[in-house]
Amino acid sequence: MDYSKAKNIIIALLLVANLALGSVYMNRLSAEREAREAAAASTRLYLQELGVELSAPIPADEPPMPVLYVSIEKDAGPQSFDGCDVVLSGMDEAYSAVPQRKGPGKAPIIGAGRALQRLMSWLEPEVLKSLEVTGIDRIFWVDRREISAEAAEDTAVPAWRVQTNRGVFYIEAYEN
Amino acid sequence: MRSALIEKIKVVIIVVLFITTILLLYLLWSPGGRGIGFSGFGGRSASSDAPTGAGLLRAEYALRSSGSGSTELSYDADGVFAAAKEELAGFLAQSYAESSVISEQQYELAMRDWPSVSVGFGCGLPLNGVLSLIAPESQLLRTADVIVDSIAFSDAAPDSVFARDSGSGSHYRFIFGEPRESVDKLSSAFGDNSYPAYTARDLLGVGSVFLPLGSFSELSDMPFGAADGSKEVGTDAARAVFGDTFSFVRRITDSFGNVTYMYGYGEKNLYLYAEGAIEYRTTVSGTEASDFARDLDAALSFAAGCGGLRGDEWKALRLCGYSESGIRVHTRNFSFAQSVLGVPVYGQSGPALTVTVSGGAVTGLRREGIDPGTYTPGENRAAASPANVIANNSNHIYNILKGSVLAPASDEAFDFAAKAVRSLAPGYYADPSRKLLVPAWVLKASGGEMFYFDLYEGTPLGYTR
Repeated sequence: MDYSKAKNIIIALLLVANLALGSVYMNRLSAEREAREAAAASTRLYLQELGVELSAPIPADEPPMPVLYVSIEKDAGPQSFDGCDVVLSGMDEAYSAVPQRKGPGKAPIIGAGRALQRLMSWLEPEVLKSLEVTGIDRIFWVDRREISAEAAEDTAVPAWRVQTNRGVFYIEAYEN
Repeated sequence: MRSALIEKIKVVIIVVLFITTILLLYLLWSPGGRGIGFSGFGGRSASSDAPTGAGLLRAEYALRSSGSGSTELSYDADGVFAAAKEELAGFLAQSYAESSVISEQQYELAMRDWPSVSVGFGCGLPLNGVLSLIAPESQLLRTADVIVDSIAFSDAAPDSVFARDSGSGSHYRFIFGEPRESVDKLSSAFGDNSYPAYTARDLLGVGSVFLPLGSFSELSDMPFGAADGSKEVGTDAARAVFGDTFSFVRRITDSFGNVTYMYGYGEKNLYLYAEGAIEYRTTVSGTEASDFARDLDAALSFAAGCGGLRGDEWKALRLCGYSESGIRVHTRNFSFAQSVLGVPVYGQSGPALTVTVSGGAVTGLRREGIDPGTYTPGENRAAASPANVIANNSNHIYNILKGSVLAPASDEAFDFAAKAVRSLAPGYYADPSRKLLVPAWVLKASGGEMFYFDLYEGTPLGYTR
């Protein structure tokens, strides 16, 4: 058997397969990017129709994210993990959620556009007319507003932080 | 030489291209788009390692009447109950059965004036549910939607089975086509470990529960630890309850070491207490039609998936309490006690395992098992007289059941306490402060409350609402 010729054939076949798969993958990435840009444009239009001013870019990235296990500590200062701020709500400002480790799996999150749409659905029309969105970013969020028990450890979930002229709002990012 | 080098390069190229092909296939077909919704209520909690409901149905006591005025009571009732189940299965294999409500006098006539044997569960259970566990293939009496806490056989009517619910004061007779020699069979299964017994009415002037005279016991104090205190048990329970969503549920640990797993905004919570108890609650019930046997098996299967029930400390589990409620969505509460040295164990929170099933789905569970330590047998000594236990503690029983702090009139308290007793049997009380299993008289009231009195001294040890 001519092994050299066989290797040439295998290389050729694998090259063709890689080109085909690579092309499909690039097309998918391109389609996803276009979809995100379309969603962002749709969100800008939606906000405009509501009378909401948008003076910040809408982030396009929405990667799957894990939960983040944190410890609640005093005077630990601002915290971040993987480039995202870790925010603690519902406790004295002296306390922080200090990252310990991330959860074992990742799950899809909603995009910034959908998060903004959810926020708009919560607010009264009168509020919307004078609302200006000044920033939106992905964070890890611990919401202790409804929890009365003392906590040594808690779990931060992915969320979108929306900064406006009427305050800061948090929208949980997991799809469920 | 050059051609050898070229061939080696080709091999490297093939390997690299193969790896990139696999990588591209993974990127294109990886399951990255799954959401994190419920994977069914209860997650993967259903376990095939669960005991069956039929196996956990046990009698708390057996009574044998000679028909000439004397009655014996035995707390060692497994043999008599096995014979009773055989007799029930024999009756249920017949083709005909008729139900009737009888008076208390008719019932007592059949039990006292004729040789008779009865077995008591210590709690009210749906009759059709009990029969479905004993003879699942029979459809006789399945529409008998009544609660009973004892089943009896009497030579007054060898073609009949009698039943009673001391909680409501109801008595029943079920007449079958063919007579059976049930009393003889059950009587021969009666062991030697029995005591003369009289009703509370005979001894105290009021009340229908049978109380032994002159009982003895060798039970002694025994140390214990928590059964499910390990972190692995708690984590396994959480994985079983939350299934695929486990990686994304909120986990909160407080400064005492208690861990709470929370899905959503409290739709589904699992609590792992530092002292070893596990508790589960969900606000969402099922929608299935009610069936006692199926709900019982669902409860056991869930409990087995949520921490396991096959360890040594969970063997000899027994059904010790039951209640039901709801019309549109039927809710059943099952209580199971661990057994140590043949007697049930109760703690401050009651039995070791309680499970709530609504609409066929488990909506609540609490397990707080004990792991008994080394036992040193005590000397055989006389137990406190149950009649005196009731009489001397009637104010205590009255105040707890009535929720009163004022001292009642002694006659009122006495009458009330004596009538409220559904059963009184030996057991162990798990004293949380001393970490000791203490031999106790376990008094069950008709409303499901339980009182624990020292078996030898008759003094109160605790109670469970």
